[in-house]
Amino acid sequence: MTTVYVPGDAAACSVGADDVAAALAAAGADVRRNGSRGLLWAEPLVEVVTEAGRVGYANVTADQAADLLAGQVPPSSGSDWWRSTPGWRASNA
Amino acid sequence: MTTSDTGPTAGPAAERAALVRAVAEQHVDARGPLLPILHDLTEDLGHLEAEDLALVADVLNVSRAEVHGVVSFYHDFRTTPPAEHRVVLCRGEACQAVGAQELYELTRERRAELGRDVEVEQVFCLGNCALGPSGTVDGRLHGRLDASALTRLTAGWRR
Repeated sequence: MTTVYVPGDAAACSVGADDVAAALAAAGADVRRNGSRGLLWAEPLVEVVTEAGRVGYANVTADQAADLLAGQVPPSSGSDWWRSTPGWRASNA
Repeated sequence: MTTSDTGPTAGPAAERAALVRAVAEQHVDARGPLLPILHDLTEDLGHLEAEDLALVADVLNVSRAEVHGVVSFYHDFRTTPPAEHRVVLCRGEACQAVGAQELYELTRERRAELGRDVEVEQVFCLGNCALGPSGTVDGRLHGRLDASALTRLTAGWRR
């Protein structure tokens, strides 16, 4: 089972982190709620635990949950400059 | 002043007076009892009436003016019954820099479209500055608000 971290603080929840967490849980992930890393513009910032460490996905929406777990969403892709950085990682586990 | 001086002895007004007095007496020995009393009364009754404040003043042995001063200072203490639904939009500087002013004005204008009994109020900073425009919808914090997000969040109010 894939372990994912979804922030549970007020800022993340204000932009839908609860919905994302519920969608990821429904899609079969082991969801852990953590604090935000402070990258509030990237919330909901989901971290997926992989062999190489945690991989960050920014601005995740609930309807992306299944694709994200299936590896169909490229990490941190998107229109913002920092999100287009290939393989951007929120941290290493 | 005794209880019999403060209004009817039976009916809803008397029940309300008894509740107010009981709540006030619960906190009367605390240090700084007034705010906890007002919080509890707001939670129980939804709003504070002039008669309630007179009773609180009586129990605490302070002037009505002192109680009124505290109630009118804090905007979250209200003296009119709350609407069924409440949208509170942040108008602090950070949110204003990302369009909160326009959102507030637009939401005030289309208040009737959101639901039958809706209040649209302002607040100065919810602390969610990085994710503005911020606001609360029936008490729940939301960030990155715009008109369409508010329409979506209030959809259930129009059914």
